[in-house]
Amino acid sequence: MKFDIDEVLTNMLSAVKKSVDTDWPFAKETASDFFQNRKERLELLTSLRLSNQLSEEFYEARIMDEKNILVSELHAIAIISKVMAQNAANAAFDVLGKAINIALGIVL
Amino acid sequence: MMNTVFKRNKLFFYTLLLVPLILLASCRASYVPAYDVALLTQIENAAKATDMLYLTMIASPDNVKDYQRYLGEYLNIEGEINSILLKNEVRLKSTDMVASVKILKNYFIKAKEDHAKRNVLSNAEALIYNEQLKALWKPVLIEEIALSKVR
Repeated sequence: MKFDIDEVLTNMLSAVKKSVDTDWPFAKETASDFFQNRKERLELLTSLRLSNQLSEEFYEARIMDEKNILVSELHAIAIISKVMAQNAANAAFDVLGKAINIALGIVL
Repeated sequence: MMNTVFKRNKLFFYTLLLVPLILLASCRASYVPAYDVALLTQIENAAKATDMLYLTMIASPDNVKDYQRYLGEYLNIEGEINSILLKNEVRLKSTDMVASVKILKNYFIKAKEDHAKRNVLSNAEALIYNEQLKALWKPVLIEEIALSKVR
């Protein structure tokens, strides 16, 4: 029975890194997309206010609503982070499980 | 002395080490709810209906922008949002989804009531409501898409 804990830990770390590298672009693109959309909305809101197509009251209310939009976006980022963490943790445990099976001579 | 004890009870020591490791390795981390393709489709359809409501309003002449004309569509969309909220509330580990859908629901009701109170929205107001509602549908949609990326 061969079970090299150092090798297993190195492989687990490598699995975590690979998993995070796979998921990272989705998180980055989503955050960037939220930021870009916010910029465009604020530009639109401001231009419509400056051209007097929106009342001051309506404009201020919608600016306040942007805070709630940000909160909702942060919830989405939180979910993406949890998915990343879950994928990374499971990838690491898969490596551990395989190493144990090999050490015990179990073929699945 | 220790070496002799170890050799005699080799199997016992290996079992002591391996049993917790086997139990740990067989665990699956789970921090988010399971992906629901039907819910994703429902979110996409409701977001499209919201967009259509305001696009129709903007494209209509001023004399056909009154609230009563759009009430049926407002209620349909509100019903869809309520359904999406309920489906998320009964899922495990869905705190973030529930929070996002509640923010969307509160905003939609506020926009609907503003239209009801003033009877007619200007094109600029309808445009802003549409843009902000799109911005509130997006996190709800992305949350469900993120679940499809669980491996």
